[in-house]
Amino acid sequence: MKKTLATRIFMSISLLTAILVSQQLNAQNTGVINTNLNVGATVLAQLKLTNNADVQFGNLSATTPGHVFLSPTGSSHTNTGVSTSVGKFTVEGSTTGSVKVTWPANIVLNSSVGGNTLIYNLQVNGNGSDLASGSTILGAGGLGVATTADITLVAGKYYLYVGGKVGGTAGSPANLNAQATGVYSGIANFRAEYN
Amino acid sequence: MRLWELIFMMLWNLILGNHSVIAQRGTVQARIMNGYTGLIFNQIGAPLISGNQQSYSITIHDSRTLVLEIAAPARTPLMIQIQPITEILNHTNSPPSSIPFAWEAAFCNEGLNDERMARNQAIPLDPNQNNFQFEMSDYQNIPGNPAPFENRVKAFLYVYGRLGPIGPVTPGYFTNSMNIEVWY
Repeated sequence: MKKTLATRIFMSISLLTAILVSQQLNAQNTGVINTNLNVGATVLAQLKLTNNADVQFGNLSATTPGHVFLSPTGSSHTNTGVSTSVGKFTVEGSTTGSVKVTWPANIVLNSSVGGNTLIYNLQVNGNGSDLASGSTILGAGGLGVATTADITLVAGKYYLYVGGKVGGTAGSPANLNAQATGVYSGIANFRAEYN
Repeated sequence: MRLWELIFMMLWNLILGNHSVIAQRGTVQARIMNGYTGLIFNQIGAPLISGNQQSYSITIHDSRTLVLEIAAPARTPLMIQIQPITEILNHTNSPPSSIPFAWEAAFCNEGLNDERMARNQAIPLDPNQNNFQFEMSDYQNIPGNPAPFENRVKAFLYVYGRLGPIGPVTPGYFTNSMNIEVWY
């Protein structure tokens, strides 16, 4: 069969077209898919809970006209002794760390004499600044009920102030009524952990 | 040869051209499962604390594990290349503080299109290697395995790892990036 120049050109073009199409489709079957995997972690500073002061109700009358209340704010105590002390803890950790603090709602104080006991219902206040008078009650239920609170450290610190009432029963404070004399003491365990 | 013959020839060549690649056609697709943000080791209730010697693991069954889904025609050869990292860094310090990181990975190429089924059958990859070659398996016709879409069967790459021990590092955010390439 005789082929004209035009025919040859058309045939070449058609062949070239087929090759190009073929190569283009083949090209879709090789390649690389690239992805980056982020690995990360936030490391927090060690958490410290320091007991700066113990709770002291002072010398109490065996019978009181009202509740014996040691205010965590440091003032407006009622029926306490003259020499008192609000308990204090400092929580230290990461700059703006969120921390869960837990404590007992109440504890039993044991007398140094005999087997007498006294119930102590705790009230815990907190403040991002080291100022008891500006502290506010922590935890749901407040005095004698609350056992936990979430706090946020301010510049890596937070302050807890501890007061409450002695007398009555757990969760139900009452006046002292012919309480056996003696020195009463007990230990309340506080715990702090990052959320 | 007439003009219509030439046109026919061109069309025929085009058809032949397409036929010659149809068996290989079908692009390879890879995607990270939705909403993925990375291997982030922070977890509520398990904070990482400077000074402790604890290590933290993200396992294959953890929701933080990277799941890379690869969809390709059966028998497609694949090469997975992982550029490993051995530490994550806190760049706010000079020199940056670091925490050791050991990557781990597993791959499932069992012709399973269901990710949960695949995860249970994934085989750990040797962390001493960086390149892994596979050929996409045929679809496994078993109950619960979704049918292939556009003749693509799926394979899954899982990347996870272990961080630590933390040690006495400067608190802050530590990060690094691993590169994963799928060649086909």
